[in-house]
Amino acid sequence: MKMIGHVLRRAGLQIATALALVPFTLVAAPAFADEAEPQKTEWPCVYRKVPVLTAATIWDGPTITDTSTWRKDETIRKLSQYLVSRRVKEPEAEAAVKKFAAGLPADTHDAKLTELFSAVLTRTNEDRKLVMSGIERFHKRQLERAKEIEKEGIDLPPAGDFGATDAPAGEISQLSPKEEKYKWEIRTFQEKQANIPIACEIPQLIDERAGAIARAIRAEMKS
Amino acid sequence: MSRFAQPLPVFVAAAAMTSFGATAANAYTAYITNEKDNSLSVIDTDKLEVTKTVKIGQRPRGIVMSKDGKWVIVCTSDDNDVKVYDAKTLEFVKSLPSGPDPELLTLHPDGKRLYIANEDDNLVTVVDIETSKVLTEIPVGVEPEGMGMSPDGKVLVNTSETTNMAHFIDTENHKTFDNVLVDSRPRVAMFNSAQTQLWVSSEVGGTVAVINPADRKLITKINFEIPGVEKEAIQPVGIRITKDGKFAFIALGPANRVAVVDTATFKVLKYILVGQRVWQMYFTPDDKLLLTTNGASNDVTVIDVANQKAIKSIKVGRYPWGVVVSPD
Repeated sequence: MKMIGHVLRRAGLQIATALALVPFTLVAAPAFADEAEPQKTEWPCVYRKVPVLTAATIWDGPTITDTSTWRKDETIRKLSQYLVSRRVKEPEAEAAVKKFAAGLPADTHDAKLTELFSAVLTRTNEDRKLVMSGIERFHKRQLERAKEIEKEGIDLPPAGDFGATDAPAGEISQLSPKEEKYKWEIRTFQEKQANIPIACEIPQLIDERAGAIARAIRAEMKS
Repeated sequence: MSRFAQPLPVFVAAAAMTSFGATAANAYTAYITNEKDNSLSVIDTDKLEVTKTVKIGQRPRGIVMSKDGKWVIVCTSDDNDVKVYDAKTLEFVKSLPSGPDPELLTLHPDGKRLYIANEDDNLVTVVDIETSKVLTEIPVGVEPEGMGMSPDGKVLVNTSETTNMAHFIDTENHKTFDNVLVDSRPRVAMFNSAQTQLWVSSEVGGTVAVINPADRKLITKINFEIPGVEKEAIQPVGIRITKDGKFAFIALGPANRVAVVDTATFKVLKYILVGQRVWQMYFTPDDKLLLTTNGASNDVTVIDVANQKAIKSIKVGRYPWGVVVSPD
């Protein structure tokens, strides 16, 4: 009995720890440090959130001012979709850029490649926004769920009272339905929580991909 | 043509190498830890190419060399130890006890005492690299990371990511004698050679604090602004200061830039475009080249220090993290 109580208490502690630590690592700078740089609690990843990937971080070509003309060019529209897909391997994406560049007339060569980068950047930011907001929503739900589970834990009988029923000595006691439900809720919560670091890698992979394509496009440009 | 396009066009590469090569007297060896690949890439700084890649321990990050250049010493974070490799053969020599999750480390000028930051334990572990014995453990702030050793070896500065402090530690008695608040998530501490300035980068705060080591007062705080780059993307981490003390180079993380700062006026002179998510850097001993590890683009950018220009991108393993260059 005590063992089960201990497990539940321990699990409860893990919930409390998760609740306490996740926001702490993100926001709990001492009050006196860097107050001008508050971090949103909705962002659970260990690295700082960069809401938009701007051209200047990965591109040293012509300034990108026009972000919509590319939508009128079907080839660029399709190619940019292909390039940003992480299912397409990097060498294949680079080969596609090379092929596209080779088929461009000299007078519009660099302008079209710039347009292609603009398309890739726009699509990249659309993907990032979707993924980042998904991560934030997931984290928010986890925080809410953790509060609910914590409350349920408080309502359970004290650890020493778990299973203090009429079970004879030596027999394995059953958890009450309430305790069983609580145990499973903790387990589900923890398994979901373990997915957050994995999800946090996705925006970084998207950025990495955009950088690789930007370099591939620039390598084909003459200016 | 892009400065970081790969490969560099032949004529640009040739021109860069000719102008650089005219003054390059020595070929050094650079060692890069690849965090995701559990490997070490070796770069010949004369040819500027990878000459060897070897598998090492799990999640290699911080890296230093022994004073005599015979050993490469690596924090293998997921193995919870520090591993020593022969710098020439790259064969494993021995493990050093480090405490859990070692991330960054620095060697005392005596060549024996190795100071290791243990992120999970809030400790700095001091190990004798010859006897492999733990000499002591120093309690510091939450999530210790940056390790800056004063050139005279009397003071170690450790930064703690969550406590947002630079802890000043006396290396004689291993006691903390002062703590200085800096902006959020301090990552790296670096003294200039004259020991008149201590530079501390704050990744989340987006600033670099310059502190007077004598009285621990803030001299200035440097902010960065790059046209077209979101403020949130400017995340200072690595710091290197030239031996003459005139220029500081600051790695700005996902801004993909290295800032060049005049150490007299504290003005940013230039932002050099490098690979993605630049964190750590290291000069060749002659201060002619600066190598940067770019974790998201899996490459190393080579900067010509005198001209403050990126001259080459070298592909290495996945998530390059730490870098060190042989002393000769």
